[in-house]
Amino acid sequence: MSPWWLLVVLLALAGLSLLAWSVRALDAPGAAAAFLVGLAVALAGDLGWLVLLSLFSVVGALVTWAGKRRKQQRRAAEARDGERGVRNVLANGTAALLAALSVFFVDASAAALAFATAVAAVTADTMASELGALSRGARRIVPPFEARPPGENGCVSWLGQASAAVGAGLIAVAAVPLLGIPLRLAWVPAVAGWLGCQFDSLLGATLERDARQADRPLSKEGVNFLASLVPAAVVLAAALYAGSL
Amino acid sequence: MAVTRIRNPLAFGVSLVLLVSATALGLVLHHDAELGAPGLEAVASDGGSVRLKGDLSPFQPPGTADWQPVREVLSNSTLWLRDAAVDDVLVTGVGGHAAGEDRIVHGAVVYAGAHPDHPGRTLLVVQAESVYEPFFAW
Repeated sequence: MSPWWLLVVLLALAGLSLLAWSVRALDAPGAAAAFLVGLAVALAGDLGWLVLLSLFSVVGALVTWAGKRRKQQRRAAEARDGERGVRNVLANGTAALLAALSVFFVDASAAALAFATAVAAVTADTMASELGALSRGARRIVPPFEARPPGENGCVSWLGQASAAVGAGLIAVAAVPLLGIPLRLAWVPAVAGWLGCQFDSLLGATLERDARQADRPLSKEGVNFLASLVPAAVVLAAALYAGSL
Repeated sequence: MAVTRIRNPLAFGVSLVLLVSATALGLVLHHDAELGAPGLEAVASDGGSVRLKGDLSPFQPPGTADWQPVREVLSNSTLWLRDAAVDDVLVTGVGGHAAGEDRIVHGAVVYAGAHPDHPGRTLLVVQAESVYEPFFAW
């Protein structure tokens, strides 16, 4: 590994972490966690992997700030004025980190697909949550699919679904040049990432605890983590199986 | 009460400086073939584009029958790229003035096959799109 390459990575990560902290996208512990996760991803994968993960961070911050006043009026805004912390960073970054680390154990192209899927899933979920909260109405994702206010756990809207598709697609397209994923396979992280968002909503409707369902087993961060881990693991397994044929 | 978006203007400014520095350094390293080159084997198999660094010296392909498939893709001006990281790379379609030490070749792989003289080794032929010197001696 070239020391100059490492210097580029450290400069970029320091800049991104400090930028996120200075614009209140992350608190100090969250920025530190983002630095470490990004460093591990860059060392395991490549600079392109770090850029893809950073793309999620930028998109996530932008959609969090979009329509903030309207979300606050609906009480659907992210807490602490959208400033995220360690738990959120780890919830959204751990699956991608694990996928990046898998490059040491499995075929690199399979690991790249899994990594792109994990990033696509958290991007889709973040865009669906933040932009879906601006929709006029939403429905529960599980029967009896009753109408609910937008922004509630386990609810989906047309705006949220479209946002999720755009987010997953954006990451999938970016993964082609950044990760070297063949164009013919770009649909994999796009579809799997979008499905991960659906899985997030399903978990939110059934297992995520909130003020009304305090005895449920999963926290919001746990749901986010599983919703990115499961599609990434499925894609990794499928890619390894396909490669073995 | 509205929250000021920028928590610390100095930190914001420093972060932009760091990002610009990282970008500038990354671009220079990429230009000098020190960063971002895909694995040679993967690119060679796909016939993709490569960026290689090494010393270029004149090369005349042998006239034997084993070299016939290689000679078919070589132009009149072909150089041999000597580099510590890769073996057996010929660069074709360059001008004679391109020979020299510490050159960067950017081009498409037009031949990737068994080396005619050394079974078990791969010979690559790159159709040069550009040959230039790096900014720095890294």
